[in-house]
Amino acid sequence: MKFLTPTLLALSLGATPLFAQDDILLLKDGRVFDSLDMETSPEGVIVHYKHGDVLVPEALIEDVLLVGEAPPPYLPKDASEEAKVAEGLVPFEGKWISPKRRDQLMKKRVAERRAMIDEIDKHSTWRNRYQIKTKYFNFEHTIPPYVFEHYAELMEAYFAAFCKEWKVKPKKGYGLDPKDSRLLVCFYSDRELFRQVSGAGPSTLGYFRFVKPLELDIYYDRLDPALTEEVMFHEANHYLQKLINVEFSYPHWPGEALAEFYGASRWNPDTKKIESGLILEGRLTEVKTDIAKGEWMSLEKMITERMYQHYTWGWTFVHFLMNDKRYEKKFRKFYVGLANDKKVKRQQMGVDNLETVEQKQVLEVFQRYMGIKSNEDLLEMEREWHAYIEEELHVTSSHGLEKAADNAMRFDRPIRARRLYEEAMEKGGASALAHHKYAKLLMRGKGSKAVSEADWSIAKDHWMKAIEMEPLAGDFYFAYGSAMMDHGEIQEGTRLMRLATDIDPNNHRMLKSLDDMIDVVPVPD
Amino acid sequence: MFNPLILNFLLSVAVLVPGSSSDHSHTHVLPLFDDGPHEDPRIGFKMSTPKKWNQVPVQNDERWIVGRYQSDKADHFTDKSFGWTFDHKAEMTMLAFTGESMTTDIDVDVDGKDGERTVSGSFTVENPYKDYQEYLKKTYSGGGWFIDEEGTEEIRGVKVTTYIIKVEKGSRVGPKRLVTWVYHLGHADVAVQFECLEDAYPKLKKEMKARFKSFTTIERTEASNASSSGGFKEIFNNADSPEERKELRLTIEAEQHEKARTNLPDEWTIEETDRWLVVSHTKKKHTKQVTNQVGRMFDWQSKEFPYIGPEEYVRRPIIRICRDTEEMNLFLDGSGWSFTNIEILTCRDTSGWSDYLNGAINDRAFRYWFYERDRELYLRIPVWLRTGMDRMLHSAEVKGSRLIFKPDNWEKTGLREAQRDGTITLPSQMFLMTRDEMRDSQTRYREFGAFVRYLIDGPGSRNKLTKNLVEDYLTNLKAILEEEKALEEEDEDEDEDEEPMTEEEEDAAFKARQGAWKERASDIAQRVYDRTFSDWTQKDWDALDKAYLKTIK
Repeated sequence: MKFLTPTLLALSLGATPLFAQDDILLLKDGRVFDSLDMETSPEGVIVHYKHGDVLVPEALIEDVLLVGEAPPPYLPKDASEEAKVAEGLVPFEGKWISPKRRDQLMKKRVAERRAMIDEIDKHSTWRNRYQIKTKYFNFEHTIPPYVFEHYAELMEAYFAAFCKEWKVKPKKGYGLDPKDSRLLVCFYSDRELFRQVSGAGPSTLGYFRFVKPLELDIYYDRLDPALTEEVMFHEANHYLQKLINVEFSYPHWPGEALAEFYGASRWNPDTKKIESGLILEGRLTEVKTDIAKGEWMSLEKMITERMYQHYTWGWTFVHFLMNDKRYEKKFRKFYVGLANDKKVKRQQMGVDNLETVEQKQVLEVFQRYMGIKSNEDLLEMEREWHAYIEEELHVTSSHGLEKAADNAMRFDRPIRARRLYEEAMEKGGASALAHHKYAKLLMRGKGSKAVSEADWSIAKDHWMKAIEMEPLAGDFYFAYGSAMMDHGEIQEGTRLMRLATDIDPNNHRMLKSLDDMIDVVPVPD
Repeated sequence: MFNPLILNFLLSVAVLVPGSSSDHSHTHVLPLFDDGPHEDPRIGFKMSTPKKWNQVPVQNDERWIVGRYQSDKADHFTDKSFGWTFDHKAEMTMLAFTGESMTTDIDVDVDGKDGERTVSGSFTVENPYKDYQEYLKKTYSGGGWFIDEEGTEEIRGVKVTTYIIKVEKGSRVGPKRLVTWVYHLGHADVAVQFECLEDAYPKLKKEMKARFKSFTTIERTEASNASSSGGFKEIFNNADSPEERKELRLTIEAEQHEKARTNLPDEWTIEETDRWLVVSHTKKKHTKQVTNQVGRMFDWQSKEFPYIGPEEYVRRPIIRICRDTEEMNLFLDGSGWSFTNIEILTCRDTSGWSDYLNGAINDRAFRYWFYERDRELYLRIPVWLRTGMDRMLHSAEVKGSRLIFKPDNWEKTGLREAQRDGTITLPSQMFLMTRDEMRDSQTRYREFGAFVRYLIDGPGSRNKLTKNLVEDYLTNLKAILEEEKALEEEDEDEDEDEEPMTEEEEDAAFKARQGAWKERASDIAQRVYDRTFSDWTQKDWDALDKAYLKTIK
């Protein structure tokens, strides 16, 4: 769906409103704000809240519906337009028509948009979810269609590319409908809904149900669309791996590690191709943190034991093998061999007639396929792998640096986090969240020392930048306002905090904190 | 029956989440009625409950569930992928959302200008759930769910919101359905929720509707109970001496016993002695077996470890015996978590798990007694003794008036295998082993159990060299912990700001922090070892190894 300029939709309703609803704003990230009070501006739209105005730039807006704003008088650009205006005509959608006809069309357009918004709202609950069939998938989702379409296209392209690369194709008989070869993909509009409906645990980002009926569950993270894609590709890859042999389930390594490898994929709009095997900077950051702790992973241990580190260290090892000409073909053969080689000892899983290879048995198969004949050979490969991590895998993008900074904060390394956030900013393209987190970090002060004036000044700039980039994120106003209050700027600080709750009225944490602060400090209403 | 494999059919992508949090809550305590309707004079409602359904008590510190019933008949679901059949008994749960916060009176000793003084006050925890939907979002753990239908009703002037909720993905026992009516009383929302297997819904539908429609408001004649302790008293109230601790513990014990008494369905029996309060939903014979087992455990501990916290008061626990595992699981499934838990919970075995349940009683009784006498000591016991003790107790059985400590077949087989394979661990190697080293061998856990049994109840308890070994070891551990505590207090006084100021310093501090607790545990084990075995010669060690190995058959 195309962005429609606010003036195009502005409708003069005169004394008799045609619609009872207030203004509506649709953002490109999928959020829908209903019942707002807005007006157009040359840069976008201004939203009037009780405690202040917020400018939402045009670049963030998918669509906007302004009810009640009179269209500005049209200023003719040349003599021919002057003549049309003199005839009493007005321009509308590339044609000159009468004001009456324009108003009729405007009314129609408003009705269409209202219907679309009502439709999006209706489908935001799981019981009313969208159900869409594509070539390879049955999607069930609660995401606005204009956001969903992008991900559906990506999934189709990714699936086709992998099928070609690994010579697999979809099979019937594994879904709810035995005649359908499409995979059911449940795509939730946010993490909360994902956890609620899918029953996933708190640390789960997505999952693939590998027993009949097969199913893939993922969610859309509006603040981290890159993560959304990574998880989507990762889980879809489990399905693709299953197509190598539908009666086989891969052991944790290499199954999860290869899924991570293909999780790092990107659609290249120029070549119309999927590029796989990119650097997963978030995972790499975890590996680098382990190294900083002095905890290098043993290859033997990693291949023989089930562990969380298959997502991190395991992925780096697959990345190493897939990028080394000596090993790539052998590794691919090993991968297919695990599922299909008759010489490999497999065991029944006791479910769905599935077989697998015990994790501790994987090493033997791996060594056979890779031509590793002794412990020394294995240790040599381990040394090569470790060197590869140190020399070839680096966090370089702004997004990766942000993730590394977030990780440093998780492990209470604020000085490192500060440097990494600064590097992310210098790279350009840092997210609004990065600016917000950096500002919050500056407000911690260094060690036990109070926050310096210089840091406070920098923090202010970053909160303003975060707000400029994401003007409808209540958390940013709240944190900025709270910091202002700490620095004696009571009036503006409380206004921002109140504005935060205007924007995000369902955020109970913010509302509660605001109540606590009002108890302590007199807050002007 | 639970099969752990069922949890493992999803290939997920995960993130590492350090730490976790839990909601802290406490309870409303309600009187429950023998027959006829469920009546709640605190919230002000009554309604009928399905015939022959059992009333299940709510936990002492439960705060939102105000009534609970369970069908006496199980419904079944067979999973086609796995081929397993699961049982589920339909449940009826009543919840009240009053919006009240929880307040606990506390006394805290603080350092004032003129020395220490006691400050009295109250500690408040805000109500974390604004309504039924939020409660469900934050607490429901029976699988993934969504609201399939939502409507409104009006019953005798009370506005009602109705929900049909489907539980489909990730449900362990098969697809389920929650049918809930939320009655908006003005001062509170009362949610009445039925939960059953999807396949059982058609036959239960009429029954549910009849119960929903029986809801009637009544006069509120009792105050709500938002001020009970929730265990915060135990956490915040200072009690430095054994006498002060006894006083506080007696208060909490009385509170908890009173709650258990008040909150007891009619079909349950209650018996109070000078050792415990027993609430039971099983036959007298089984109740007696359980209390006998707990009593024997306490007697044995008092005799075996008289030197551990001898001046500490051990609260009389509440021994709660449920009718079966389903009832016990439903009792546990609530939001009654508390800092105070003086219950020993068990049930009658109906699924062939009697060894596990007996072992669990021993484990709980042991930990309960030890915690009351010296929690810090218990938590710092080195791995060989702690896991060895757990293992030894888990297979202990009551015979007459005695506890018999004997190995089970799993342990015997494991030890034989280890001996045959030449991987058996010698006692002289055990004392300094870390938890990671214990995990390196599949039989080591069992070997620790065998060795601790040898020392405490076997030939080692009569051997001149080792008969006082456990006592010496624990006494030395206690002394070392006290020395450590004194040093920490000194360090606190001298604590200067040593926070890293550069990234290099921060990196070094980060690296030093890694595995610090493991190093600390190893350090403690080493110090206890040095102190306990300072006068041992190689001859002594050889004698110990030889004597122990001789007992392995």
